[in-house]
Amino acid sequence: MRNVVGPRRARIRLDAEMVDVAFDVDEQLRVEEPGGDVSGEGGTDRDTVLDMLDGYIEVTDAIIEGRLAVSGETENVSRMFVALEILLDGSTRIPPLQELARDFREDPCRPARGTPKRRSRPAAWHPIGDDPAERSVLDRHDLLP
Amino acid sequence: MSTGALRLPLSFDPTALAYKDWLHVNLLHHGSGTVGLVNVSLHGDPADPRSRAVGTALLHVPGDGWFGNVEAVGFDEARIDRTSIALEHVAVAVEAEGVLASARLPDDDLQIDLTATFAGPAVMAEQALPLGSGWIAWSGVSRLRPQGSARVGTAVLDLGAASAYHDHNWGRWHWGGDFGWEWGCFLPPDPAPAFVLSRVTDRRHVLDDRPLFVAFAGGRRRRFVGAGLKVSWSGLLEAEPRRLPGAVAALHSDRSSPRLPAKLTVDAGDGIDRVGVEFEPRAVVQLLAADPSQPGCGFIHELVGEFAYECRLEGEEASGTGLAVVEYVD
Repeated sequence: MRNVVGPRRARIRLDAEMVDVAFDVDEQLRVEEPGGDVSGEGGTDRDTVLDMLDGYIEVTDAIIEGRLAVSGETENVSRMFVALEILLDGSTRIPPLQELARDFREDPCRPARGTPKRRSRPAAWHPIGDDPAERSVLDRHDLLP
Repeated sequence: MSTGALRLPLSFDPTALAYKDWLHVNLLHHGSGTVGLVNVSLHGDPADPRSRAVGTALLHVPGDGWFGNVEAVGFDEARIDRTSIALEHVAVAVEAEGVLASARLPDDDLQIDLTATFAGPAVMAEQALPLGSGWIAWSGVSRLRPQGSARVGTAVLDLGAASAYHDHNWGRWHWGGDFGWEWGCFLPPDPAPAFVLSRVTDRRHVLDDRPLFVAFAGGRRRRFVGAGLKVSWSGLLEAEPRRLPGAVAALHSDRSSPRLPAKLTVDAGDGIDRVGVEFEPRAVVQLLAADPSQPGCGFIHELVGEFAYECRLEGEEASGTGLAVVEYVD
């Protein structure tokens, strides 16, 4: 993950909370109050995270429906998602990460989970990479080949 | 009658990392068309903290979709007994005369309380079957008589009006290997015949090994194998799956629109008895099984829906429809 992220700094928002994350010169992960420039930003809410964890929506659906937003230069956004993939892959074999997910779900200091919001788009099958809604988002950001 | 105790590895078993064991129940409520599963499973060496106990409870309601979820914990957080596995939200216990299963998933609008007694003969793979670089063995009971209730969304179902199926699978394999399987239970309302299909394949579902189709009628079972059994898939299922667990699904976005077949046809005959089954699933859930000790993931597609059959067994002709659950794994 350090190789992928390098010296970049990301701003992460969950509901009203916001933090900056980066690896410091000692290669330790630092989570700090927001401040200064960042390479990329991502934001969502707790119910969306739980809906994704519980398979009610996919990451693509969350982005298309405006429930998850990521911004930054293309290279930096791509690296943010690769870092997330590394975290997810590791979580299947790292029990403390799984416990972290459970703590998040069961956190008594946060509001009770709302009713799961299933994807709002019709669930018609389409080949990978050929989702009209997904192509529309990519086209809007001039990311189509 | 029992489907056997859990086969936990001994402490000196060099294959323990690949250990898999699970207790499976299918529920099929004919009046509402609601169909799904309750399943508890063990993955990995019990002495390895990475190993997981997994509980799954999912029911599909026509027009409303899937209700339920998956939970995964360490072995030390599950209550594992000789013939039962209990997690916080999902539990299955096998007893001498039947199966108990429960699910408490209020956030996912699902609660199940099931007591089911064995109502048919057991069937088992006569020997362990090769599965990739490992093996799998199984035993099951084609028909159980359920009692209890299920709350699914806003509906409350009397499970006395449902059918149920149970099997126990165990073996040694790592998810992500070059293997797959097709397995199905086809249950019309009791007392009609019940059918079970089992076929181990490679990951592409091109090569298969000793497919087996069993028909249960009148307290007896008929096995169809070899040249007398034809299993074919066709079409493309136009339904996007619910995918669980979501974190592992996010890692495999390339599998978010799996190419799954839309129709299963089974033709079985031995010159005296014959069975024809056609199954067209209406929905699918994709359960992603990440191996706890090495990179690799299996994709278990639970296809649910209605099926039609016609048969002649021991001189008696029968035909009808019912509900089915078919696993398509790669």
